[in-house]
Amino acid sequence: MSLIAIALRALVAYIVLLALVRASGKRLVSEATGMQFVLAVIVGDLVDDAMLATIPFAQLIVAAGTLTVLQLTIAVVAMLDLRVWRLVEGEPPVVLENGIPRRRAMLRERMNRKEIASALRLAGVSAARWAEIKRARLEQEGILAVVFHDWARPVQRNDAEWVKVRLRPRDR
Amino acid sequence: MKGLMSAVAIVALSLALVGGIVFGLGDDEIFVSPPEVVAEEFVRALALGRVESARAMLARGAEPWMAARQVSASLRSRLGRIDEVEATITERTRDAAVVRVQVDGERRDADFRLSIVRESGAWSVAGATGLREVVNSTRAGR
Repeated sequence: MSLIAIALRALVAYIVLLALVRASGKRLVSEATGMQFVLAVIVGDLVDDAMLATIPFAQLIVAAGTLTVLQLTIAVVAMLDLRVWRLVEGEPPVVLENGIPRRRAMLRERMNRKEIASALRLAGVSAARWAEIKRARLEQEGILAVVFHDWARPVQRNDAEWVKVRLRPRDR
Repeated sequence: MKGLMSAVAIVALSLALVGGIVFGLGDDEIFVSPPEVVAEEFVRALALGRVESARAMLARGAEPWMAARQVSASLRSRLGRIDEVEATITERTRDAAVVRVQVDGERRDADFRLSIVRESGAWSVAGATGLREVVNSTRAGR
């Protein structure tokens, strides 16, 4: 098999896939969910076959194109209907509530206490501050989204104004 | 919605481009599998028992025995696990090629030739010389 043929196939595959990735939006590469990861693996395998010509090039275009169109269709439907979104993406489970890990959610996600602690440290929350957490959800991308109790949020400029108003002597 | 339309347009445009190169410009090895790759895939499919895949690689006028279930079973029992399949073109015209196939099997090696023809833009297996002997020697050897 000639090397020029391989190079030409690689070039066209690159252009077609780049166009499809651009059409599918930035989310496909920046925040890959489970389904998008599977899609990337399948397309990667197809590219390998097309590069070595074990499948005709048209098969790569049809397969990659069909998967991209399917992914986009599901994304559009999921955007319009929350039930479809839940079915496809799944509701992010609450793994920590009021500073206490939720065992059932942890079991379902096969996540132990140490992994929660690690994910929270990555989010900048040390174990000493767990009590300040109102709710921590495990998002599709595998990161923990943390919501703090109102009393635990850092002091803002507005708070200083509020204190000033409260401390102002009352009109006589 | 715009992304969806763009993806469909990209697929249609790419297919038109590849179709134009294959059917219009007569490309026979860049955007279609070249004859030696078709021969290798055909033998691998037979040796792995994927008879339907092998059948799909046969040319319209080809003798169906080449991709028969018995041929696949005999090939597997004769050669054992396939370690390597190497195909080299020995003769080549614009729409036909003869490919020498050398198979390194777990039990023994095989060497035969496949005639490959170009049909509707793609290469397909039209005939085999020496494959029947490999298959028959299996039966005689039992």
